[in-house]
Amino acid sequence: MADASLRPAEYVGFRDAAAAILGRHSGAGALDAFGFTDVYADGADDLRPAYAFLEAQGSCCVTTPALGLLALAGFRDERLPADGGPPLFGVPLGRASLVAVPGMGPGDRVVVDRPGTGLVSVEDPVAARRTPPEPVADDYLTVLDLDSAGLRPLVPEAEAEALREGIAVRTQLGAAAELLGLTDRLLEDAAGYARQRQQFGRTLSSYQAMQHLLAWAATERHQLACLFDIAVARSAGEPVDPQLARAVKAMAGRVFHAVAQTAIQVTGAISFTWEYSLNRVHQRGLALDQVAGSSADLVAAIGRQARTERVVPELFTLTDGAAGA
Amino acid sequence: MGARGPVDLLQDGDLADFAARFRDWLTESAADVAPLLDGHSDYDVRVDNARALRRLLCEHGWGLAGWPEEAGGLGGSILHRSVVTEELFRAGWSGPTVFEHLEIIAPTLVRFAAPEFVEAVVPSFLDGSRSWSQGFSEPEAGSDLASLRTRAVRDGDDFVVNGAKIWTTWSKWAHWCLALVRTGSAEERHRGLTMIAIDLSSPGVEVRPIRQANGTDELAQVHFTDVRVPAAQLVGEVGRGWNVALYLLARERGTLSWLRHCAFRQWLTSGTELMGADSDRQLGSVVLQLAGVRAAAARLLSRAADGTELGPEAAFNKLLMTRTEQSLYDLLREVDGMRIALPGDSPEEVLQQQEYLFSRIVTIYGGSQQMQLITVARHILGLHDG
Ligand SMILES: Cc1cc2nc3c(=O)[nH]c(=O)nc-3n(C[C@H](O)[C@H](O)[C@H](O)COP(=O)(O)OP(=O)(O)OC[C@H]3O[C@@H](n4cnc5c(N)ncnc54)[C@H](O)[C@@H]3O)c2cc1C
Repeated sequence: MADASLRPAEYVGFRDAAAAILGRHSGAGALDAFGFTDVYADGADDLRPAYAFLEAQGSCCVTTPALGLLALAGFRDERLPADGGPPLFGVPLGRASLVAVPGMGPGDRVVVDRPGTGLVSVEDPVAARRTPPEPVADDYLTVLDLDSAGLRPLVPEAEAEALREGIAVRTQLGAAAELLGLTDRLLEDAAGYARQRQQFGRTLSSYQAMQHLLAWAATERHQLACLFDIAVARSAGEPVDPQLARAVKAMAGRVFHAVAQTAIQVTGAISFTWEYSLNRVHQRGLALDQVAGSSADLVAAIGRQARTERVVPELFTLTDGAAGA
Repeated sequence: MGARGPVDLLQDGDLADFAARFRDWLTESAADVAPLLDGHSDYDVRVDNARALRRLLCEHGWGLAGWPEEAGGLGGSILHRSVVTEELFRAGWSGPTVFEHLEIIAPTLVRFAAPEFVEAVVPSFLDGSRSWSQGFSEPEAGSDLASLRTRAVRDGDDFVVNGAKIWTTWSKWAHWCLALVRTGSAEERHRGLTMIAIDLSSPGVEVRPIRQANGTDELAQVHFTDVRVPAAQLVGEVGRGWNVALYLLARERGTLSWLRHCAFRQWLTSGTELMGADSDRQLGSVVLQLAGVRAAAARLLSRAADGTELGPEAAFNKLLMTRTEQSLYDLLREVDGMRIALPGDSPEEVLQQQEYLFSRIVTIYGGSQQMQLITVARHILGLHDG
């Protein structure tokens, strides 16, 4: 991005390293090449590289199970059979019986949170898959219907309570990282398209109407990057305030939808084709907005809390180093 | 613990410690401070309060924190000033009125004016005894600022200034005007411009306040007829006024958004008492926009504190800040339009209407929304005309 220098240099370094890997690998291969599991190995509490990886995954629109792993970072449970890799988290969707598993492969184990019961593992995730009747443009998220699935108790409710906040924060920030990456991708592609496509003998980018659309999109994306970076910087030191993570996720969804609409408008009819790259990016973002609280639901929740508590949250302060002090 | 004096204000501790000590001082000094924080529908009263508050803050050192020593300050960075600003708003401040220009004009003077001039004029700006206005726009030069015509001609040790500025905010109360004037030819456009500080009590200066749509007279026309201005009052070099203007505008569009968003939070918080559950989504949306303004402002502040030159990215801040201000007032109008359309006799309602009407024009001052979008498109996205 043209404004990369505005973002924390160390984070951008992680992200660019991840992007270079994701240009060549996907799935577990990409995770290994990046050393993803080391990021959240015992004792490692700086998750910035993991968020950077997810942002790069968004901008490259590549599939790995990183988000599902990150959600359960630090989770070790002897009640899970020792064989098999680390479990993926099935992220809550708007409907209670459904979860989405990012980048799920055939042999992957899945853990979900059932409020009232605790954390449970899904006996046969493949069998619980909800299969759409038509091919999908992007198969990154696998939706499981838990109503028909066998569930095995893992962490009882009393213990699960202590894990919930961390899982929710990591899932929301991780999904927001991907949405930010997808947003960047859409914006860059649309600006690139406008620079080369000619109509009336001039490039689209020379028309003020197009410039203004893209400038608004860049502005939206800028505010998201600023808020996201503050949350990620906090994650390196101490637990992130759940209200901050919620705001980041809500903003990520809204900004993504706004920028997607701009990208479609700037790109014209070609953007409405199945094959055009924008379609897959758009559909991935649409789906990611639905996980761990949709932007629509989160925005309403943010408003409800502000109204009932009569407090407009500050979310971070200059004195806690948010401004890089 | 008694509040500490100015000398040890910045000597120990981090920003959080500084903020905590300022809060302590605010609590201890509540009897003196609180009456100066209130809003008032009579603008003159607000300006008087703002001056008195500046004086009080400087007497105790807090108003000098974050300003360089050569300007009469105690050192520190813009982050110290921003912390003081936020704490004042948390304590219920209605805002600095004419001293909003402090964050815009004073850093520009410090950066570009001669050291003797800085020493002579900035301390009295900080302590509230003198205030400044910003004379850029002219009747024929709005968005196309580089077409301005007010002319300054060298004559010995002085420049002689002739012309007229318009929309010069807070000139009615100001002692100085930082004016962008033409010293070169019209064809040179922005290369023929120079920044100079004009004492508004000089012979040949006439300030004519403009009654605004919201009933206040913050804006003014300023006419200059053969006004003699010492060359020692140049701010930057002759012919380099455009760079000085860009530096100043990055503050007006960018770092100022920290102060403004503190005020937005206050208006929004008090507005929540009017809202019902049916406003939750719209309220949540404005809360989120405010978070975006805050985050983008914090980023810019940290860059300014590091001494980084602020560039076109300040346009982002201006776009976000003004859109949020309009969304906020759209929401307040939608939940209780009567208060805004037909205010009763309470000063709060009159003030609310003033602020509502002002929020409609914020996408014009400091470079219109369209100009900011063009800046982002050209200088950040690299999109070009033709
Ligand atoms: C509250 C307030 C305070 C102000 N304070 C000050 C001050 O203290 N000092 C000072 O010097 N000035 C001040 N101004 C003036 C301000 O900087 C100008 O109003 C502003 O630059 C726009 O100029 P204009 O009003 O002449 O509008 P115009 O330039 O005539 O613009 C009118 C409309 O046309 C659009 N437009 C213009 N050119 C283009 C283009 N090329 N492409 C697309 N759209 C275009 C604009 O975006 C705007 O919507 C203030 C203005 C306001 C409202």
